Amino acid sequence: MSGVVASDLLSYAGYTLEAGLLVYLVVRGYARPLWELAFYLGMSLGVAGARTFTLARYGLTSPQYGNCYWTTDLLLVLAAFVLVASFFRRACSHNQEMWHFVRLLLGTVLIAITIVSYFSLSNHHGKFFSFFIVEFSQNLYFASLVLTTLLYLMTLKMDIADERLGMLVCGLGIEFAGPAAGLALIYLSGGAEISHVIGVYFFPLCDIGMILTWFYAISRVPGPANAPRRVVDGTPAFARGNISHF
Amino acid sequence: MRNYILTFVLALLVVAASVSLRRAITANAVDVNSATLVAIGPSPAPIPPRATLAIGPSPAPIPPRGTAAIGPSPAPIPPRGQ
Repeated sequence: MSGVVASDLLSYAGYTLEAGLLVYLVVRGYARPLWELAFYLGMSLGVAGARTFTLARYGLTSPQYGNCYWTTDLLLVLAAFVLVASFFRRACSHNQEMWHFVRLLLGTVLIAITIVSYFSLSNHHGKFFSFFIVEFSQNLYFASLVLTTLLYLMTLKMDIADERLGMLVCGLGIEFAGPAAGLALIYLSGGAEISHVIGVYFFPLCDIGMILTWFYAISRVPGPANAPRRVVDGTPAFARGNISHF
Repeated sequence: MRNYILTFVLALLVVAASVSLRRAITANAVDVNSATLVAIGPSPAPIPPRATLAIGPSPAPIPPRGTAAIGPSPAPIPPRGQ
């Protein structure tokens, strides 16, 4: 199977799974409680539709497809940042003071990424729009990756009872960390063969891995409302032997 | 007050880590000649794009570097063959 066919198959599998998960969310009534997932999937499918239309009409190497791809990539990265922020909001749902500082952290990161992207343009100010979009998207992508790692550590440290949130964060981690690791491997190996394998198979598989993880998290893992409550025994251990159960 | 300072420092650390990680992985991105190392075989456009990451399964076009541009600017010049 040629790389192009395999890439197309994996791409269409990713679109199909995204659409299937969005339909599942709507049909099973999860679209409102998990609005951020529905928003992200809707955005991703809309972006895919726009890209597919442009690709079919103008071709892969056309400037129109380039414009469409990198502009919609900015929208997609911003949607992913909103998704990470909403996961932080869920993780801090029982601690408003913590959410106050996390909100400040996320806002500061977004502003700092904008400033860093602007100053990294250096001598390309004449092409502000084109370079800034790519710089900002890439920097925000890696910031979201770091924030997702922090969020996962936070869910472990705070012992959050919402197991579904942990799985959703894991899925997002696959989407962010997988391509970053693949690109690092390409950079370290410096070979065209491995970059071909990673580009054709690994990157689309990361997207599919995220959707399947989310599918499992929503369909199999109990949410905060259905999670079994932990039985808290208020009696000190040393006194339990003296309590009569009659 | 101390919490605000800690939050600000943490935000700066997150940004520094993000930018450093990106620069470490995509160090050759600016150099068009060495960036052809990650171009993919005979296909018309690099898959993945040169030292850039994107969300979603769509095939990526050539990123706007060098003389390439988004919007009404001239069309991107593929790095292959340079």
